[in-house]
Amino acid sequence: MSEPDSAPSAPAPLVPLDPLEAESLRRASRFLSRVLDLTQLLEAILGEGLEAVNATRGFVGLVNHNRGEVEVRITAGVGWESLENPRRIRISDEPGAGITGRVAATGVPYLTGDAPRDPHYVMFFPDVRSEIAVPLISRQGRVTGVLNLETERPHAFTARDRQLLVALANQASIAISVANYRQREAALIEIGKELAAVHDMAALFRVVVSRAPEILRADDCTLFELDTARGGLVVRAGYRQLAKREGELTYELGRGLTGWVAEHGEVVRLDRPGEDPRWENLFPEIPADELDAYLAAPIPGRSGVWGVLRVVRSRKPTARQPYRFTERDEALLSTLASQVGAAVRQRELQESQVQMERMAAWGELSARSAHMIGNKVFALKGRLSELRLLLKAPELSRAELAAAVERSQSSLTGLEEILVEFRDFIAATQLDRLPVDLNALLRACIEEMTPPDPLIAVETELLCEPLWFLGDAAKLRRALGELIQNALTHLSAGGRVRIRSGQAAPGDPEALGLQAPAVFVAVRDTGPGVPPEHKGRLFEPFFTTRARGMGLGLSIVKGIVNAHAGAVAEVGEPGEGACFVIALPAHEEPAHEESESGREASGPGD
Amino acid sequence: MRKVRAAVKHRVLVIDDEEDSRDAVSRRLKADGFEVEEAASPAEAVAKINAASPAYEVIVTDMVMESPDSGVQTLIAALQRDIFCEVIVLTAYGNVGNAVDSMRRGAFDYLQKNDPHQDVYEQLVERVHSAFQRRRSSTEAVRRLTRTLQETED
Repeated sequence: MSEPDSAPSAPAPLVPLDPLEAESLRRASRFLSRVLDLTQLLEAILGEGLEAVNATRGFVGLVNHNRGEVEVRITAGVGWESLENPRRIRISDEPGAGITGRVAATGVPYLTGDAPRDPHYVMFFPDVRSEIAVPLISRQGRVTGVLNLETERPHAFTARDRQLLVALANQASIAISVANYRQREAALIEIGKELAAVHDMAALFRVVVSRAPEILRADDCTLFELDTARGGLVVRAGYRQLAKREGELTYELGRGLTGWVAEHGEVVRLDRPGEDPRWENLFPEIPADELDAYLAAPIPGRSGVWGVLRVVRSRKPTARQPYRFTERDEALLSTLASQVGAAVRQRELQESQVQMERMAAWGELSARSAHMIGNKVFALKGRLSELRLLLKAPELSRAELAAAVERSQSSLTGLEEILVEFRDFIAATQLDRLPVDLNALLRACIEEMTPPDPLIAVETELLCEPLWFLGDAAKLRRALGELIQNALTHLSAGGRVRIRSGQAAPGDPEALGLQAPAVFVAVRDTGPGVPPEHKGRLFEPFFTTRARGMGLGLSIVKGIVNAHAGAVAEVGEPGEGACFVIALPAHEEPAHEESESGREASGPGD
Repeated sequence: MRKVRAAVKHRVLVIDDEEDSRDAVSRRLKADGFEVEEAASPAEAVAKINAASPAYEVIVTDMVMESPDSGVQTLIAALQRDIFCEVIVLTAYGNVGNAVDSMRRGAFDYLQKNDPHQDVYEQLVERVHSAFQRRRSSTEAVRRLTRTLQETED
């Protein structure tokens, strides 16, 4: 083991001031601070420990206060694999519980003389004659783990070894807490990404309350929205206890600790919150006497507080100290709350943009409708004026009268067609959403399509798996039908329509810029294609190259797709036929009764 | 029914991109004895105006076609071809801004297509007759003036 040219790697003797020992600790510290992966870190701690006290076997366990156990994470030395159940050790300072359980319970190091004679020693391996265990203690004074070392020599460990291991354990604790924090930060970044991808707000809130306890080592988490109309905090999502109160008004503004957070827009971080004068014990996740720590952060909104995100920790019988939230926990929760706030604002912004676009479309629609209806009415007036003239004429021609009536009828039909389109346009954005399989929808559409010419071929290339999205089946079917029909009307004999469906990841061309996993359908035809000068206006209301109708067809398609948070575009090369793509946010496969087909199977809806 | 005095039928160009409206106007004018030609777009109208010989004497044009002021464009084209051409502009009900603009640019008159209390076709027929009259008096005035000038020179 001796390496004459390098710094001594063997444990240096005795007193804390000994330069060799100090150097060894510094080396361990430097090394530990570089290791960020928790498992590697625990391996390193165990390795340093074994070397420091010349032990032959050992393990590092981490404390799980929820279970009241030490979980053995890393082991060294022979014989571990043959042990029946060494992986969990009960935390207790009663005799017979074992040294590890005792150290975890008391937070005090323990070393045996001749192990088999020690009252607290419990035998794992028959050859062990000495055992030493030191607690890993967090900055808050909580026991987070135990380093346990053994050897076959009796009376092998000394007070000096204990001192050395305690110093090592302190270094290790810091390194563990840094590694933990990094891990939690990384998890937080992951959540941030997840939040950006979730479109449904309720789903987003559920992600937050289910992931926050993991990151903040909390036992429960609740997300409240400040509803100014109702004058207080409404539960939007709860991890455990308050999940069943979703949508309920809880704290009035200013009532209780959580109401205080909403009113003042400041974080509250407390242990034993029941002792705080603001505490009213209104809607706690955990009974006040079992509550160890409380942390609530305001969720920032566009103006002031949007809501409150709260986590709590329950009292653990095996922990000597309350498991208080630290400043780091506070920083993590505040970050998470800001992420929620940003996601909410993003969503509101999108909605207001959609709203503005809708208003603009409405203004345009109203003006254009007034124009077109005015024209139709003007024509109809002309027909009536013609009839009046015919009636005044000296000789009445039935044939001429009949023709004039026919013309009146046709003008009236034109007026009605406008009204139908108008109604469809309005209906396009009112959705009844359920999980729908895009492929099933396409098959139904294609089945009822009749090509205007039998020589036009309709080919399909649908992904064999179902393509779920959340939507209004009837509306989407209308949109798809419109696209396919649009392709068919631009084809002559010998033409082909090719319908392809599949999944698209963000960044794929078929995702059309959607930031979440998508399902898509592409309708390609061999017609003349869309000339470049028309591409920009294709989906505008009233744009048409056909003689009949208001030209709302493709704008209705766009309206329907947009209302589904999807995208539609024409991506064909001019001269090579048109290619329309619809992309919709994918949805997880539904439980059977939830789906459109399930509803149909269960009988008439509504 | 009013009798048209001229032996030669008076020729009117009707411009409207809405087929139904255009047809209704044409029929009504034909019923009153006018000879009617049609244009279904501003472009077609301008082409016909420039190609016509002799020039159209009276033109009835819709205001809002491809753009909200299509009627002004056809008016300008008509007056460039023949300064004495009389143009009647049809506008949507309540859209007086465009109408005033076209009057300023030399239109004979404007009519609101959807005035609930007017028989716009009767008004139109009456306006077309007046337009022909004014055109006649304008051209006669010019002829007189030309003759006077010639006499003065002589």
